[in-house]
Amino acid sequence: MRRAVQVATVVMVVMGCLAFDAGLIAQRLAHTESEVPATNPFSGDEKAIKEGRSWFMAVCAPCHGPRANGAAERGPSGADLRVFKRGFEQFVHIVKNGREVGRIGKMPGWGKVLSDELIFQIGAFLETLAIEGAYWGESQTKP
Amino acid sequence: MNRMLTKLTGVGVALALCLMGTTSWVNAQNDLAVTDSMLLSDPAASWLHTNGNLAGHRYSVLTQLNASNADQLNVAWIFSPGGETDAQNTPLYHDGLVYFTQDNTVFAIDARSGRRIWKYEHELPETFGGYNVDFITGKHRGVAILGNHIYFLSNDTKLHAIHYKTGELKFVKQYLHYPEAFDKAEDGDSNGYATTVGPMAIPGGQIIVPLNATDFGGLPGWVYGVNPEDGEVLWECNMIPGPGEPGYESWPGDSAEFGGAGPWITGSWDPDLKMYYTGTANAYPWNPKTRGGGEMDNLGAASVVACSTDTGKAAWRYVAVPGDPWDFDVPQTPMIINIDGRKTVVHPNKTGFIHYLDAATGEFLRAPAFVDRLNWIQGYDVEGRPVGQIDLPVEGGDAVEVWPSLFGGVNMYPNAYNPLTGNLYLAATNAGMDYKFEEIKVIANVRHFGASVEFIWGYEVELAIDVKTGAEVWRDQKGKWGYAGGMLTTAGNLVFYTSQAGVFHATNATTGEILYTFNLGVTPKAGPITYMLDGKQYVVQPVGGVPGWDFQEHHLEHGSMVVAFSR
Repeated sequence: MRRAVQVATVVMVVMGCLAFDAGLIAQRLAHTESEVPATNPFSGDEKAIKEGRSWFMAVCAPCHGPRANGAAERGPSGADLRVFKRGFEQFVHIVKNGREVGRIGKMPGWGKVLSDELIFQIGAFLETLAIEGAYWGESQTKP
Repeated sequence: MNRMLTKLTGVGVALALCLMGTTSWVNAQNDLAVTDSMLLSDPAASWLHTNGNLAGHRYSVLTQLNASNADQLNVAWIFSPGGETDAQNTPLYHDGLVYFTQDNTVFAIDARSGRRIWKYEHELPETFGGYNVDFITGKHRGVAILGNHIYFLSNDTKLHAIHYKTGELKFVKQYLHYPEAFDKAEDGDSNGYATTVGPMAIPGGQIIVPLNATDFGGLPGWVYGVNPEDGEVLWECNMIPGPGEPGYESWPGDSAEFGGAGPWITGSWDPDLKMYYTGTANAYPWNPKTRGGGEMDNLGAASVVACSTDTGKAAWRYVAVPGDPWDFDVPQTPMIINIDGRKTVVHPNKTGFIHYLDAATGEFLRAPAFVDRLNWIQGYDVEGRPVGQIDLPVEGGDAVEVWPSLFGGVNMYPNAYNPLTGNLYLAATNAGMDYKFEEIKVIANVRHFGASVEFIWGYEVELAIDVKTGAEVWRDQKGKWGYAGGMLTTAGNLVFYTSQAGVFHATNATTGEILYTFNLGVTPKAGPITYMLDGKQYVVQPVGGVPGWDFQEHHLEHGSMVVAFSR
C-alpha cells in the first residue's frame, strides 16, 4: 500500500510537470512568429537567462557593456539597459528594428538574424540586471 | 566685308586658343605637384604624410615656434567640419591648403583663414554595415598626397584620387568587398573589409592601401601597393602567412580564414630597404579556442610585418603576442630610427612594451616596458618570446585581471620621435581590465569576439622616453582616464598634444615643462601637425568626438573642430 502511494505520487508529480511544461511550451510556441507577448514568457527562467546572457555578451555587450550599463568597449556606447523602462514589447521592437540614437551612433536592427526566442531570452537576462527605474511589464505605447 | 569677318574670326579664334592655352599653362604652372623628393623630406613648410615623414616620426624641422616663445601662441582660425563621429584624422598641409577627412568627406581648408575651399563627399552604399561596423563608420586616420592628387580611402575600401586644388575626382577604385548589415547581406554573409586607415604615398609612384576586417568578422588583413594614376593593384602583401611561408603552420585548421591581423593604422617606409612596416590587429576571434587556444603563435596577427614594396612579399614577420588571447593588437606605427648605426624599428604598442627590431631582418633586439602596471607577462626573452604569461580565462568562467588593458599602453593615438632630444613621445594610458572568454556566436557567417571585458579605469599620461635606453625622461600625468589625441614634436624643442579633457598643450620637449595650454573643450582623437605659410608657423589640431568608452567625468559633449594656432 505504501509503495502504491509512492508510485501514485511520483506519477502525479510527473504528470503535473508535464502539464506545466506543455503549457509553457505552448505559450512559447504561440509567440515564435511575429506576435510579441505583452510580457516576457522567459522571465525568471534560469536556462533562458543563461542563454540570454551568452547572446547578450556576443551581440549587445560591445556597445552596451558587459554589465549593460552603457560602459562599453566600443564607445560611444549604447544605452544603460539596467534602467530600460519602455516595457517588454518596446524592447523586442527596438531589438528587431533598431533605433536612431542621436549624432554618433545607431542601434542596428537584429530582427532578421535573431529569433524572437533569442530576443526574449536576452530580455530575460536583462531583467535580472534591472535597477530602480527599470520597467519590463506591458508597454504603455504600442510599438 | 566677308574677308574682314573671316580675318577677325581667325584672329578671334587664335586669341581664344592663345588665352585657353595661357589659362591652362597658368593652371599647370600654379599647381605645385608633390614629388618623390618632397615625400622623402622631413616636414618643414609642408606636412605631406599622416605621420609627418616616411619613418613615422611626426617630427617637424620648423623652429619659429620654440620653447622660448610658445607661451605667446594664439588661436589663428577654426574650421568646423560638422562631423558626427570621432575626428581621428591627422591632417595634411600642402600649397596653402589643409586637408581633413571625417564622415567619408574630404575638406580642403584655406590654411591662412580656415575657410573651406572645396569639399568632396562620398556616400556609403545602403547595405554597408555589420558587426562593429557602426563603431568605425565615418572615421578616417589620414589621406595621402602625390603629384596633384589627394588619395582618400573611404570606409567601403574605395580609393578616391581627388585634385588637390579643385576637389575634382580623377578616379575611384574599390579593392575588396565591404561588410553588409546583417539584415541586408543578400547571400547571408555579412563579412567584409572596412577601412579607416590613411593611405600612404611613397616615392617611385605607389600608394599604399592597408585593408582591415579584423573586428568585423576576421577576414585576413592585406596591404596593397597601387598605381596612383588609376588605382590598379601593383602588389599585395598578406599579413597572415600563406602556404609555404614561415608561420603558416601556426594557424590550425582553417582558422587563418577568419584570423584577423588587419593593418588599421598607417605604417612607415624605408627608402633603402624598400620595405613598408605595419603593426597588425589582434588574432580573431578574441577567444583563441578555434586557433590553437593561445598555444599556437598565429603569426602575422598582433605582429609587425615588413612588406617589400617591390614585390609585395612579406620580408619578415615578428609576433609580439603569440596566439593573442588578449585583444592586444599592435597596429601602432612602427617608427624607423637609426640607433647606434643600426636601422631599427621602434614600436611602442598595446602590450605595454616598446619593441625594438632590426629593420632589415626583423631580429628582436629588446623590449623595455613603459607602463606603470603590467602583469600579462613578466617580459620578453632574448629571442623576443613572452615569458611568464598569466593563465588564460576559462570560457564561461571567472574574469582574469589583466594589466595593461586592451587599450594599452598606447593605442591608435599616434606617438612621435624627436632626433634632437633623442626622445620618444607617447600618448599613453594606464588601465587594466577584467577579461572573460565567452562562447563564440556566429551570425550571418560573422564570428563574434567570444570575449567580454570590463575596464579598470586608470589615467592618461604623456611620456617622454629616451629611445636608446627606454628610460622615462618626463611625464605629464593627468587625473582622469583617456589618452592625448596624438603627439607632434619639433626642432623648436616642443611637443604639442591635446589631452582627453580637450586641453591643447605646448610642452618643452626636453624638460616636460608645460609652456602653453588652451581649452578647446572637445576631446581629441588625432594628432596635431605644423606648417609654415607667409613666414608664419602654424600648428593645427583636430578635435572631435566624445571622451572614450563612456568615461563621463570629463564632462565634455560631442564637438567637431579643426583649430589652428600661431603667434
